[in-house]
Amino acid sequence: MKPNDVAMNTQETKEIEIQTDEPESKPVEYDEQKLADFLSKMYPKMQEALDDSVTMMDVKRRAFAEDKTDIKVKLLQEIRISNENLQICAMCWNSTGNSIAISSTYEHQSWCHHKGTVNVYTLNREDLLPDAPQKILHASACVTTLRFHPTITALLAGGSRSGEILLWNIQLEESVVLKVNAHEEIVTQISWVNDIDLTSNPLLATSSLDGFLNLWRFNSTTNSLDIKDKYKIKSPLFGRLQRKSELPLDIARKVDRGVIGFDFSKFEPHMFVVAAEGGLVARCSMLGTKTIKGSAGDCPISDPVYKYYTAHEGEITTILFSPNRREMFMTNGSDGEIRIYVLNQEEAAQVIFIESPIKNVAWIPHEEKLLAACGVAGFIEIFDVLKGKSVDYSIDEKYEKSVMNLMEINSRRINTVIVGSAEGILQLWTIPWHLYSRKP
Amino acid sequence: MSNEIEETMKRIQSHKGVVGTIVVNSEGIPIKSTLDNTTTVQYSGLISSLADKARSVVRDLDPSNDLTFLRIRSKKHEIMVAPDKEFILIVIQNPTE
Repeated sequence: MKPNDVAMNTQETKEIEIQTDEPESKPVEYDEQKLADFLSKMYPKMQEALDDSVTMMDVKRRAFAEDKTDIKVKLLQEIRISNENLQICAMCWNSTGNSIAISSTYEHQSWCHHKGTVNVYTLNREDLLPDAPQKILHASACVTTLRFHPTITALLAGGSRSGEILLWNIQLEESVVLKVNAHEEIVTQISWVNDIDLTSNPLLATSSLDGFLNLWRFNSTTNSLDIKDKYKIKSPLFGRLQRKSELPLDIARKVDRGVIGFDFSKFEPHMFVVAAEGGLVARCSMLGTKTIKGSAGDCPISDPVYKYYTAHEGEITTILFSPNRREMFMTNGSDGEIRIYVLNQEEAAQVIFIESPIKNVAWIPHEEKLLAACGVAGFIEIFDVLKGKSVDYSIDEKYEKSVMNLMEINSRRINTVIVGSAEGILQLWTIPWHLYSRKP
Repeated sequence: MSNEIEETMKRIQSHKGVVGTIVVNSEGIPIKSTLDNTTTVQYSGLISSLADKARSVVRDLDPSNDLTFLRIRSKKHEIMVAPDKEFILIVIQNPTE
């Protein structure tokens, strides 16, 4: 067929009636005696199985009826971390979902003079937190971010205000595994991410206000952290992406913006999104990075950005890929917007405008329609991603609302959520997310 | 003879929650059934190939072993499969009824 041909290659057909015949069933031959014997042999076994499943269903039904009281949002427990006026600033469940590490700090005006403390709690037999932590870890400065290793359940990584990275093994008496002076400024986020080569061990990614996002290799035999890649996020040159409101002077003067947060895609390990100072959102990749001229030495610095998005008018508090949808990620800014981006689109696919300031947003595993957020309102707000609105639910009237700083969903028991409030109180909640995704 | 067969089929069918009973021969062709033709043919083909696969799994793991019973529990009902050399007995039960 010539390439310029306009005619189609399909033929038109017309049908008037369709008639199918039932396949003729030929009488099957079998030995009656053998069949009779077979049935009498099998009957007792079958009867037992039939009775068994009936009683099984009754037991299940009773158990389900007892659980009905738990199918609503409940505050299970509240613990005060310490007596002083500490703010909870970092929390992380470990990979089995049985232990949680909590870091609390004082309000800082400038330099951090404090010793950092991280408390580790392990859930007891009733799946509640004990009154006192199982382990207390120390650092030379306040610990701002924590992440447990995805497979080594006792290994905990932390970043501090002084730019130091610490690795602890919570099972050992002498917990500190290593300390590295990784950054010049406060470490804003730490995460274990998969290398492009999925068969190798996870890398440790660290970000800081010094403008760097570093990737490290952790060697468990030598207990050392070796730098693999260094990335710097530059401010975008294109005017249209710059935000409308004025940037604070100290940020506007910087060539390299401090990195506030980042997230690597679970589905495509080379891809990651970065949130930088000034509300900047950028999409980056470990592949195809451009080495920044003038940087040499043992680890050259590269520019990993390949797309900038319109900046938030405020500072970004959370940036996360969806664990359910490979093409989706979300950013939350102090400008009162939760933006949901779809990778191949220029602008945010959905924007949720929030009334009271939100401090932390989380995706919910297995619930692609929902987002959970906590903040000044003092209770966990659930949002419907498609509708862009919050989902209402009833809370116990006796519950006293207090500002929530952080929330972490337990990856193994998704309905269990830990919340850190601004007054140094830990709250353990149970939330049946699935009930809210079905609401019309 | 055929009375005995019908008796046993009736007894199974009258059990609590039983939706249907089918007997299939070694080639997967239905011999007796309390369900309509289309459903019977569907179950027969699918279940006999599943039973064959289950049997080969058991025997591959341990050649001296053999499959004696197979239960498939789903959201809506449970399918019990009792295989033998020449026939397979299939019973579909809805335990909540």
